[in-house]
Amino acid sequence: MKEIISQKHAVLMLSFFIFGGIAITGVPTLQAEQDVWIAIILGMIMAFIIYFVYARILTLFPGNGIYEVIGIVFGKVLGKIISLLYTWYAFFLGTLITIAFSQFIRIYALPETPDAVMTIVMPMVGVYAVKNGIETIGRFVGALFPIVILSMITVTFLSVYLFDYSHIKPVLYNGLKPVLVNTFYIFIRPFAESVLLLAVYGSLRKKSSFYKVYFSGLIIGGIMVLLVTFRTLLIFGIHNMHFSTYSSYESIGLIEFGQSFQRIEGAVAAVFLVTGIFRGSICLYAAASGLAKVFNIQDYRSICAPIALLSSLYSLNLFSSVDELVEWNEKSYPFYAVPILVILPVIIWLTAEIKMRIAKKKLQTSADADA
Amino acid sequence: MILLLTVIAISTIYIFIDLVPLYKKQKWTGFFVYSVLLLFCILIALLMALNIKIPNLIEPIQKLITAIRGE
Repeated sequence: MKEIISQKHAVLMLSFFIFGGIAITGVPTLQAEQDVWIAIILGMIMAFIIYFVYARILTLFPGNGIYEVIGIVFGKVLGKIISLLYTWYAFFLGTLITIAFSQFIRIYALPETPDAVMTIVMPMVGVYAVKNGIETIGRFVGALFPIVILSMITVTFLSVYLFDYSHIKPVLYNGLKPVLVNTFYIFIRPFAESVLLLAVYGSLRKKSSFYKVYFSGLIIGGIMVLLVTFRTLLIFGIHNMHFSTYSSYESIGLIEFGQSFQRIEGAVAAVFLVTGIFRGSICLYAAASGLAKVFNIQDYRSICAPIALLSSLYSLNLFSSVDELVEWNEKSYPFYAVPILVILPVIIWLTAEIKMRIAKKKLQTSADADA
Repeated sequence: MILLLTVIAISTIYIFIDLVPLYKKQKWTGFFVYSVLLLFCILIALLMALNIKIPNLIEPIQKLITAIRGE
């Protein structure tokens, strides 16, 4: 039976996916510094363009996910090679998410627990989610989204007394160039990473608009990113943000009202973990459905467990410390991801457009000949 | 060694949950892919338990990107 996700859930999934990308680590700020909020707005504009491409790909082939579209457009052999690239990217991103969240838990909650425990347990939750199907994941997001929004707004209101508006001044002190460089980094993470949702949206209910899904999701997710970044910047200042790996989380730790109301970051950490599990599940779903497509396996669910286990083991070998992960995320990852997040989708879109036009012309010519 | 034992324990559970049904339904492609992935997991866990360094894909990628960017 084909799974179906509603348009509302699809929008929330995209927003959640975008927000989850920066929920605990915050956005990259190295270049733009205190002007990072401008970089986020520009990043949203860039994302608007690439989301148009994503939405157009799905609109051309409604009812099909990215792997089906790749198969239709590029044929069997080339299609499988490109599908493998996306499968690899989903697997790799899933591994990065596992590392980020397991390190987060190890540093702040369970310092004595060995890495292996967290890296193996977290993806198992993802396996459970994926085995229940993408429809269930959609409902899970639908149920948790109001809680995430409520906690975000509450924490922001509670932290207003800590805001120091001098932290965002002077505006554009170093000119526009560093802001533009930072825009590129922010465009890649968290915005363009949502290319993986192309695998999910094949299950979107008929008559849903992919453009509406992408643009609404971008606006909601973008506002969430902007709000969290503004809050962290106003509380922490840019220099503390540079020194802190989990700046967004640590800034919340400063909120306290007397002796009785403090350390609310624990409650917020739960929300962060939920977004991590969701993102991990989407990566696992994309990797499993991609591999299933490549090997012509009917049910992607049957192979998701060993992929998750492999991702856990791989995550233990990838980086020796959190600093290495941060350095990779800030310096190399955007360049590594560009071909898969931007170049390939544009190639798929252009090839699909050309193929569709040729097919239409052929159909018209044969119809004219019949007449 | 704890990691290896954990991976073997989890793999055993997965064999009963996933692999046995695939075998019973005679879905051979799924069965084959699943088995290879699971064996690969156990092999990696074994190498890690023996402290043998597993090739890391990040290093060559990072070197390539640094070379292209010229830093």
